[in-house]
Amino acid sequence: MSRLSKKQPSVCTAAPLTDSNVSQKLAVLHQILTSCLGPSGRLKQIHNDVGGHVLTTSTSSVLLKAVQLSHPVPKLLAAAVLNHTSRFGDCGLFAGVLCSALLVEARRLMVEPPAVATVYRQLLGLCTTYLTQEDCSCKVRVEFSSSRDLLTLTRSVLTSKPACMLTQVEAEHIVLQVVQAFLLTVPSSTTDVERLGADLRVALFSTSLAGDLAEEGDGSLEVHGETIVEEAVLQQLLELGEQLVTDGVRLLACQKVVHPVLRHMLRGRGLVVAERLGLALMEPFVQMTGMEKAEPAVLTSLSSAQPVATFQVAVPFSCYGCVGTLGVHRCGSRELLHLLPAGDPAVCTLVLCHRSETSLDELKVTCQTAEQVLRQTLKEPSALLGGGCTESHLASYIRHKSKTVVTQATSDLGCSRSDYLLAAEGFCHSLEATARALESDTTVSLMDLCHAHRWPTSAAPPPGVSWAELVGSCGCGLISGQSNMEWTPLGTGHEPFPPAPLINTASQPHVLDSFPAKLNALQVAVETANLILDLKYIIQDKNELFSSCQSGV
Amino acid sequence: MFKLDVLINITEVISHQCRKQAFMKAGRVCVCNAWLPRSPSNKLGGLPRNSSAHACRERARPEVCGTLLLLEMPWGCGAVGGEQHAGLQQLIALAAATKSFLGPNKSYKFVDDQAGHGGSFLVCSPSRLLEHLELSCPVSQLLLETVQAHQKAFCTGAGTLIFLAGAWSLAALECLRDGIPVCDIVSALTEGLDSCTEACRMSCVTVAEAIRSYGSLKSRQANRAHGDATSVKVSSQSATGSDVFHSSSAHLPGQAASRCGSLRPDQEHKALASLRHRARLRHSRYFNEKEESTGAESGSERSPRCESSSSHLCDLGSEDVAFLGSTVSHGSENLMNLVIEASRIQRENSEGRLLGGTVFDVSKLATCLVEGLWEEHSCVTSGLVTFVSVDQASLIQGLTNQSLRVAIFDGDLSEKYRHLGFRKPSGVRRVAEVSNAPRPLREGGWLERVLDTLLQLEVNLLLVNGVVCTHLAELCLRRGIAFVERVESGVLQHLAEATGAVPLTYVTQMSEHCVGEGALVAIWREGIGDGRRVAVNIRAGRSALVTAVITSTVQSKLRSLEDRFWGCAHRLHHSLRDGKLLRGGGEVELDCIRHLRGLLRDGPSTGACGQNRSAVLQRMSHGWMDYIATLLWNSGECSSKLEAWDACSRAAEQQVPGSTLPTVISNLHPQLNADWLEGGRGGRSATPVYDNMTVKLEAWRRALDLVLIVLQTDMEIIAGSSHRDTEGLPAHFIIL
Repeated sequence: MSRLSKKQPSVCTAAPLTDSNVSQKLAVLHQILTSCLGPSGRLKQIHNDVGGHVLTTSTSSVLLKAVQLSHPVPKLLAAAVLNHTSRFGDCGLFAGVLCSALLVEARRLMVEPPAVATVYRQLLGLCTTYLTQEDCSCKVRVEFSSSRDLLTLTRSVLTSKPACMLTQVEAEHIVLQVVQAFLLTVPSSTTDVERLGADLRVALFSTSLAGDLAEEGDGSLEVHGETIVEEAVLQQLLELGEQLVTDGVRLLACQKVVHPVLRHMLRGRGLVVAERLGLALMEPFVQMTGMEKAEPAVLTSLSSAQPVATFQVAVPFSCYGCVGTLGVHRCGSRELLHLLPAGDPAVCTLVLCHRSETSLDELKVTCQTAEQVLRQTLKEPSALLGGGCTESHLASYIRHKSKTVVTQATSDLGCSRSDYLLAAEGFCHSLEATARALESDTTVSLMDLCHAHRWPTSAAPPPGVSWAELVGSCGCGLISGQSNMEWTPLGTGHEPFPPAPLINTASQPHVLDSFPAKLNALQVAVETANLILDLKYIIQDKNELFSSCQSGV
Repeated sequence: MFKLDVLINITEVISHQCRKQAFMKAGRVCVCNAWLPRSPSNKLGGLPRNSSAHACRERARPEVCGTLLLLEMPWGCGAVGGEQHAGLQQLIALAAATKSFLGPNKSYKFVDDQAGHGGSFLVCSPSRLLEHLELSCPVSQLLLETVQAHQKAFCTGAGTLIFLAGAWSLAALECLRDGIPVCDIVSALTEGLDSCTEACRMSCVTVAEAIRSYGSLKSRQANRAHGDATSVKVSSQSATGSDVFHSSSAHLPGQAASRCGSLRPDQEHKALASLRHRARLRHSRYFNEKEESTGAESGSERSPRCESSSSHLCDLGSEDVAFLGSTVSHGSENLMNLVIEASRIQRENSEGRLLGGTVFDVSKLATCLVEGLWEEHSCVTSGLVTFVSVDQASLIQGLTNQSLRVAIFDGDLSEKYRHLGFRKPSGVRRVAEVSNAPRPLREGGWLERVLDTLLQLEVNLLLVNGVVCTHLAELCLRRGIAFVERVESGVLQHLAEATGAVPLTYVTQMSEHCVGEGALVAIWREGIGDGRRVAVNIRAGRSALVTAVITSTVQSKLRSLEDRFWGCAHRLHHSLRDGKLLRGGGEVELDCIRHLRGLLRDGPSTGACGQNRSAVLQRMSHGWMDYIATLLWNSGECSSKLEAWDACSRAAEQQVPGSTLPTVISNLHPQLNADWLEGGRGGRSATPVYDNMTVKLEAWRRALDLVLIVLQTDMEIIAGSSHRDTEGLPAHFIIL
């Protein structure tokens, strides 16, 4: 390593949050994320300004992965959101918006940041307790007896991304396909399909069969004068082919390229060769070709197919897997090889098509999110009311609850009563701001003073008409306009009241959010905000190109 | 047909000059209008002159470091500067450059790269123009992506797409200027297009109807009733009869080569008629009889099935296909005649066996470009026509009229060539146990082995996707093996299927069963080529492959002619596949304008929401109006754009279904009536004009999707810029 340049001393910044530069960056990030939220969210174009690929998206995971942030504080926020989306898929924007809103609120308050963090932490506990209660009134049970709730959950995810560019009919079709795909992947114990004919034996290679020395590494290779490496490798490949043929393999699949000579030889012997599968397909392929443990009598020696990482030794027999049948699936002008599983492993393929690459990319990410959301319902069959109703409801609940527990809390946390109330107000305000981020240009948000749901209504009502006459139904669609209700603009402050549970309603919510994703997003948002609030110093090592940072409290 | 219109200049020099002004303009992606003043007669009037396709940026990027530039633009978000949506302006400017490509009379454009690396190009289609422009702003990248996706799927209709993307961007921009919120614009535009698409699907014309109105099917049905009694008997004989015919005709090289395309538009009718006449004469007796008998068998259920599926279009006669082709030729009659002729040859070659259920298989079509000959020499030939080096001329002459054994290779034929995905091992060191051991003679060894294999398998003809190395080429010539290089992979595939050959990568793979048989080769036509190359014709017994030889004296026109030929071929292909057509020449757009007016009448028009909706739908219909007006103006039917707008809005006002554009225009110019009736110059001919339904509706949808994506974008984020770039940036740049 070169030691020519003098080593730079580390740079230490104290109280980073008071820096106007940092808060400006945070505010911009907040604005970016807020404007992305919801069905009327705006898209962002990301490109490198030298004519490369242009990304158009409003999905947090895509957006934050594509941008490189310069300051450790926004970086921390983005990393937290990305971590959340990699596990839960949905609610990344919610986490980002809420976290930055909490930070903006904390900066506005004239309270020491660590004290605010303590109060936030306590309030998060209250939220979590309330949301996990059985009788939480912004939570609904997901009924598996009908597909209605699953469809609603999926529809909520798909319609929240305008870059998917779907008409209503197209969106409905894709929602159906996604739910159907999900249901196909849920293993069922009842089906016992009798199968006709023998299964086809499959070999899967993760190494390249192109005839090059894949594992050669960096070192040099010494060969004897007479030997020709390429021919020797090809000879080995052909021997491998012979073995596959004698072992009765019918399908050779390879993650990378297969040598044309081997391919030709195998095809001549009646094998199907599928090459260039790519890394993403390997895992599902292994899953699908694996035999179920329940049927050992049929093909005893076969366990699940394992990808073979070398071609230089004979393939162990146990590495083969099997598929039921092979077919050709036509999709537009494309012809796709269609493998049908032997046995009953729950694998299915969702084929997505779109007019442009931009929309297809967004649609793909959105469908993956929807699939993750549906999968989470298996573990936790609940959903939260969407359309901003959960946020406004929760804000209302916390505002009321914090008033009732204030004496206890101040003695527990060791902070002053006014600090506690200010921080609590900031917390509720952040939640309401997150709900209001769903507003489009033409709507404003109201909150009813009974159940504390969010009601979108026209921003410019005709003269002489009151808001109350214009409201149709609340954001989640559970309550529709009732004459005996009172409304107030959301986030403008009102007397605290305990939001009443909704009883005996026949209507169903139109918008649902994933419960586990939203709960985790809430926790991620508050904890990340607390972490940033607790930051006292940022110490940056200036010696590396990509400066690493450490924080100390 | 060869008129020049706008010089588009893509030089670095000019864009450099603009850069300085560019960043002066607050909050805008900059613009380069240097090329506009260069053409005083350009048709770009009425567009924002200060915006253009060439957005330039002022920084060089030496290295990427972990920062992000956020270019915050007033992209129509919220209250600030909603009327200055930069993305929409860029779309409008890009679309404006392609306006002269609309309609049957297309103007050529020169794209001149004065920086010196690209040379100049002559382009005649919007997709080619976009390809040759230096597209630096992200919106133009999006447009290019959209257009290329559409071209890939349909091969035609890109002009409509770009034009409407521009027109509807203008509509959206005007709406923003009026303070209509983005979500209202989005919902109204979507509603408008959905409704119009539905209306168009309802009002489409089936291919059978289109042909019936012209009279051919009717007469054939009458014929069929007449010959019904004998048809069954004939059909039982026809199988053997057609086989005989086929085997006799397939081995006569050059028989089906025929000339057409030497036609001027004013001769079109006569030519069509003669083509029809000739087509009938060329048909075998058996062929005609069989076709009619199959028609008679399914006669009872024919009309309903004709409406519902396209597969029954396979009983179209040659004259029906010719008529259908002429209705979707869109100004390229000569090239469409080539396509029609290709379809006829395909039917003849594949007699009895239908081409996958249709009368025309666009995938079994190839082109060969010949420079130096008049365009009248364009023609269509059965089999593949391509060039080989002149050294092979005598060899090929010797092989003529022999059934050849053929080997097909999908890469290069050279020792160095390796298949795709092969990584040559690096760092290989040879060690010899005996110091003076002879090194293997690789070069000679490989050549000899290859030649041995070829001779052993008695191969006479090599078809190669890549090139043949010179040493091997010499040896092949000496041993009497002909080779053809740079054959397209699709064509190779067809020839492989037709001869029974298996496409290979290496010669070492060759074995007896990989060699195909029955290929015929002949010098295609003497005197074609430039002295270094000679044109050969390769045919395989059972292949429906047809080559269109496209000729032009102007070399740079060849590519445009080829593009237009493929456009024609795909329009015919889509008409047959859809089985449905839209009325062309602006009629269907006129229907859409009328339909939108209906929507405006019926829908809510009060309240803020209703008012916004009416305003958006109104502007959307202006987009279509502009389309028709540009079409009329480009085709010379109106002397000014104003007149075209006038004619168009008059036609739109008349609710009578019969009031088509020609009638309205003829009312404007009573003195020209006679011309039109004769189908004279500049006027409409008597042949109706149709558009492909799927292509057109998809183009509309893609155009709107693009506009909506751009409209809903409110920020442009530039990733991966370095710190050095950020010095002296305007205030609207924020480093995140």
